[in-house]
Amino acid sequence: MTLTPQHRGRRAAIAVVRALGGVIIAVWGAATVGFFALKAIPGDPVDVMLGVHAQVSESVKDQIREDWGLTEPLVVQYLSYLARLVRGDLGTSYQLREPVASVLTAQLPATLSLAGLAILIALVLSLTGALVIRRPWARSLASAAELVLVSSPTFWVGLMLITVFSFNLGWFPVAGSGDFRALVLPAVTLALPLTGIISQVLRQGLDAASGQPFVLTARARGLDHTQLITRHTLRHAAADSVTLTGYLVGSLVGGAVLIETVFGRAGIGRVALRAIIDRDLPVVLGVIVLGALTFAVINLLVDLAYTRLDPRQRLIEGTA
Amino acid sequence: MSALSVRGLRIRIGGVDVVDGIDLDVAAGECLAIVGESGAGKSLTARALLGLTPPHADVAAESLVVGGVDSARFTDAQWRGVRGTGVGLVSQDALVSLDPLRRIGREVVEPLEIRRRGGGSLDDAVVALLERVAMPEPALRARQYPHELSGGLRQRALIASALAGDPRLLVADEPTTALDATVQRRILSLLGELTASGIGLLLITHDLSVVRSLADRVAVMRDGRIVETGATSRVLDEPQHSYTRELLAAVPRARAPREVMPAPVVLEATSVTKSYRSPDGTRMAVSAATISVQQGKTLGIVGESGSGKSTLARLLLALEKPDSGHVILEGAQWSESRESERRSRRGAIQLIEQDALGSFDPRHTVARALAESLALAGVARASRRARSIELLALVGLSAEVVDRRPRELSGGQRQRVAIARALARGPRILVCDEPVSALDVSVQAQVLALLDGLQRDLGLTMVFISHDLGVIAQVSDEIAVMKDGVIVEQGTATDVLTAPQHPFTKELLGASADNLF
Amino acid sequence: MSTVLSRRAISLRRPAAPGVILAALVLAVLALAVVAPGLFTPIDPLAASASGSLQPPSSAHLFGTDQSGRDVFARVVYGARYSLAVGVGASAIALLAGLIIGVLSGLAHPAVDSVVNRAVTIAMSFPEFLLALVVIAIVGPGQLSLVVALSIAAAPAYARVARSQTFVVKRAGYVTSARSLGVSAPLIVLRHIVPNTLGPLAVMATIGVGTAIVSAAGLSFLGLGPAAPAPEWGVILSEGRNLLDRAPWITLFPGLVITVTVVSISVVGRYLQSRSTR
Repeated sequence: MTLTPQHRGRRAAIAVVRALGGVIIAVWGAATVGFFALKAIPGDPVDVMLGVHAQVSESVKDQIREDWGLTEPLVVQYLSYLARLVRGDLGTSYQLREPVASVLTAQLPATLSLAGLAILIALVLSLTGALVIRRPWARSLASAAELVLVSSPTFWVGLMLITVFSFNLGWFPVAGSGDFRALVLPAVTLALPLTGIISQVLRQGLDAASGQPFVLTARARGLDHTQLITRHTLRHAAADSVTLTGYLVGSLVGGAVLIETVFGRAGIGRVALRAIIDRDLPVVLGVIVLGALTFAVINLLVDLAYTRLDPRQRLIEGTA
Repeated sequence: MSALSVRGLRIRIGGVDVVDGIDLDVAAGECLAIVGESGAGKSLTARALLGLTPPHADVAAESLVVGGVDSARFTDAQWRGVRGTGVGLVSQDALVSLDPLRRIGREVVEPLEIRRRGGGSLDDAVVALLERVAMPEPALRARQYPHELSGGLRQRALIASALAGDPRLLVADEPTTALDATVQRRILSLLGELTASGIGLLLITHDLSVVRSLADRVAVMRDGRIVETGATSRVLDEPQHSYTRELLAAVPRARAPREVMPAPVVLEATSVTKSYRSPDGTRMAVSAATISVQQGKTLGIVGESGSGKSTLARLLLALEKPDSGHVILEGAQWSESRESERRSRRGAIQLIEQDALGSFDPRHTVARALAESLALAGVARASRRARSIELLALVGLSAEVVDRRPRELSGGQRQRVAIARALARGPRILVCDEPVSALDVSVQAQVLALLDGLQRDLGLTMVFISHDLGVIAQVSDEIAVMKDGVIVEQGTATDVLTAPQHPFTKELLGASADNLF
Repeated sequence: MSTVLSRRAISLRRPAAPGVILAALVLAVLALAVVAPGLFTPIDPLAASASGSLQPPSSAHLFGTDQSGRDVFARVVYGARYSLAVGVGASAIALLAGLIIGVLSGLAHPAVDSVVNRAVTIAMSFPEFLLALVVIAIVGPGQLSLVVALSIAAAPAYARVARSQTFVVKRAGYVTSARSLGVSAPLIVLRHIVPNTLGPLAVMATIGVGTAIVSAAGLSFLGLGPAAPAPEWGVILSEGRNLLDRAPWITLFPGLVITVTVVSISVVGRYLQSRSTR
C-alpha cells in the first residue's frame, strides 16, 4: 500500500504539471470567451476613446482604428491579443490611454488591504465563536445572527454603518481611502457576511464531526470538550471549510466592488465598474483575465491545502 | 478484584426503559459475552459502563463498580478520570472508530498524552503498546494513517489505544463484525491472550460462534433484560430459556444433501474475466471463472470481501460485460448479445441484493416498485394492485405493506419486498448477493426459510453469494470458493465442506463456526 | 427495533417550529404584495405626494418620503414584484439549465463529460456576482438583463451539483435493480435519475432565490438594473445613498425588507430540506 519514493516523486511531478496546466487552460478559456463576448457588444470603441461629444471627422476615426489594430480580421486580433497576453501585456485602456496592467496594479494595494483586513476580522470572530459557544441558547442565537449576516445586502449594511458611525457618532470618516480610520468601516462591513458564512460552515463541520464514531473512541479515552475540538474535530471541520475558501474569496472580491462604491474608496472594484459602464473593453477584459488567474490559482492552493489536511486524499493525488 | 460489578442497571430514553434492570459480573482475567439481536440494548449498556450514553438517556443503577471504582453517581468530570484508565472501549470497524486524519501512533498514545505532565517522548510507549497487540513493524505502522492499514491491523491499533491507560476492564462492542472470517479469528485469539494476562473482557456480539470461541460466561439479552446467563458451554449446549433456544436454532448450519439427480444446465459462465482500473493500477476483479448451475439447484459462492463474488454476480446478470469469456443463459448467448435483445429475456434471471433499502427508489412506495416489475412482466395496469398483494402474501407480508415506503419497513420486511419484486417478473433463476448479511440471525433464518420454500414451490434455480460459510452450507447443493478473483475450489456441498482440497478452503472452514453440521 | 422506528415516525410528524411558521407568513405577505400591491397601500409609488419631500416616517407615510416626495412604503411594496420576479425567474432558469447540462454530462461518454466539466469548473472559478457583472457589461443594463446575468452566473453551480448527484444516482442500488428488471435506459433516466437528482437542486434553489434577490439589488444599486424611477429595491437604495445624513429612512427600510425576505426564504428552505431528507 505504501508507495516508493521514486513512485511518489513521479506522481507529484505529474500532479504539479496537471495543476499548472489547469490554471493555464482556465485563464485561456476566460480570455477567449471574454474577448469574443466583448467584441460582440454593439458600439464603436473609438467613440468610447474620444467621448460621445467629440466632433471628429471619419478619416481621423479610421486612422485611430488602424493605430489600435481594430481594422484587422477578428481572428488576427484574437491571436495578437493572446500573443501579448503571454508576454504579460494586457493592452491599453481606451479611456485612460494607459496600459491596463499598470492601471490595475496601481489599484491592487487598496483592494488587497481592504480584503485582507476583512478576512482577518472574519476569521478571528468565527474561530472565537466556534470555541466559546456551547450552550444551546447561545448556539441558537449564533445561528440566527449568522443567518441575518448572510442574508443582508452588504452595501446596505455599509450604508447603515455609515449613517450610525459617521454621521451620527462621527467616529469614522464617511468616505475616502486615506488613512487607517477610513479602512475600518469598509473592512468591518465586508467582514460581516464572511463571518456569517465561515462560522456557519465551521459550526456545521464541528457538529458533523462530533457525530462520527471516532469521537466516541476519543471520549472513551477521557478527553474533555476542549481537547476533543482542538485535537480532533477542528481539523475535520477545517478540511470541510477549506473547500469554501474559493467561494469566500470570490465573495470578497464581489463585495469589494460594492463596498468601494459605497465608501468612495479607490480600488480594483471601482475601476472595473467604471470600465463596464463606460464600455472600456481592454480594462474589462483585463479584469476578467486577472480574475481568472487569481481564482484558478486560489482553487489550486485550496486543493493542495485539502490534501494536506486530509491524508486520505493523498493516495489519489500522489502529492504526499 | 473484579473488573466489573453491576446491579440493577436501568437506562430510560423518552419514557421507555430500553435497558431494564440488568446485573453483570466480570472477574479479572474473565471474558463475559453479552449476546442478543439488534434493539436488545447491548450497545447502550456498553456505553453506560463508560458514562457515554447519549445526553437524553437517563441512567440509574444500584451499584456500578467499573474497574474497581463505584461510578453509579458520577458526573462527567469524574467519569473522565475512569475512562481509558479504569475501563477501555473497543468499537466496531476501526476505519471509522479511529480518527482518519491522525496517525496511528498519535491515536494509540492519546490516553497517556492527555494525562502526563512534562515533556519527554512517548515513542517508546507507542511501540510497546503496538507490540503488545502483535502489530508487525510497529515503528513503521505508528507513522501511518488508518486507511493505509488492513482491517485486521487497524483493529489491533484500536485495541492498543484502549489498552494504553492500563485499564482493568475492556469493553468490546462487536469488535470483529467488520472483519473477514480469517482475520476475525486472529483478533479473537488476541483478545483471548489479553484476557489471559489479567484484564476483564466484556464482549458484546450478535454472533454465537464468537461467543463459543472466546467467552467464559455468556448473558443472553433481549428487549433490555437478561433472560439467561451462565458458563458458555452450559448455555450453548443446554439452553434453558426459550429465546436462547430460538437463537441457537436460527444459526445456519449444513443440512442433509438433497437428491443428486442431474438436471439441465440453465446458467453457465466460461472463463470470464473482469478487471477494473484504479489509481494504483489495474485490478483483476474476476479471473477466468468457470461455473455452471443446474436447473432447480443452488450454487453457493463463498469468499471474503474483495474476492470478486459481487462482480461475478453482475457478470452472470449481464450487468457488466466480461473482458474475456462468455455467459450463456438457458442455452442462448447472454453476455455476448446486445442489451436490446437481452432486455426481453431479463425476466428469466433476477437479482436480490444485500442492501435492500438502496435497491428501492426512495421516492416510491412498495406498490410503485412492484408495479414497475409487473409492468415489464406484462400484467395489465388494472390487475397490478391485486397481483402485488398476492405477491406480498407469497413472501409472508400483509396487504397493508403495499402503500408504505421501504424506509418505513424493518430490514427483514424490506428484503421480503425485494424478493416479491423479483418474483413479480416470473424468473426461473434468482441471483442472491449477500441477501441476509445485514439481518439479525433470527430474521436471517426466516428469510432463508422463505427462499428455500419458494425454491421448492416454484422450482427456482439459485446462485447464492455470501461471506458466511454457515449460510452457504445451509442453502447450497454445490459450492464454489473464491479468493482474489479466482475460484479456488468447486464441487458438491458435501465434498467441499467435508473434504476440502485447497488450503484457503481449509482456512475458511477452520475459521468458521464449529457447529456447521 | 420497534422503538427506533416509532421515534423516527414521530419526528416526521412534529409540527414546524414557530420561526418557520413566521417565515412562511412573511413570504405569504410578500407574495400578496407581488400579486396585489394595491391591497397594501392606495398611494401611487411614482407620484409625488402633497406632504412634500424628505418627510420622516409618520402615520401618513409609514416609511417616509424620498427626495421627489414619493411615498417610500408604496415604492417598497410595488418594488416587491421586481425583486421577486428576478429572484425566482433567474433561479428557475439556472436550475433548469444546470439540471439539463449536469445530467447529460453525467450520463455522457467520459470524454464529453470531462470537457463539459472543465468548462463548468472555469465558469465556477469566478464569483457569481462578478460573472453577472460581466454579462451585464455585454448585454447592457435593465430588468431583463438582470435575469439573464444572474441565471448565467448561477447555472454552473447547479450543473456541478446535478452532475455529481447523477454520478451517485447512476450507481445506486435502485438503478441496478431497474436495469436487472429490464427497464429501458431512457425510462430509467426519466423515472429514476432525474427525479432523484432534482432533490438537492431544489434545496439549492431555495437558498439561490435569496442570493439572487440580494445580487439583483446590488446590481441595481450600481445602476445596472432597471432604470429610475422604477421602484426596484436596489434603485431606491441608490437614490437614498446621498441622503444618508438627512433622510436615512430611504435607505433603512428597503434594506430591512430585503434582509427579512431573504431570511424568511432561507428558514422555509431549510425546513423543507429537513423534511425531505430521510
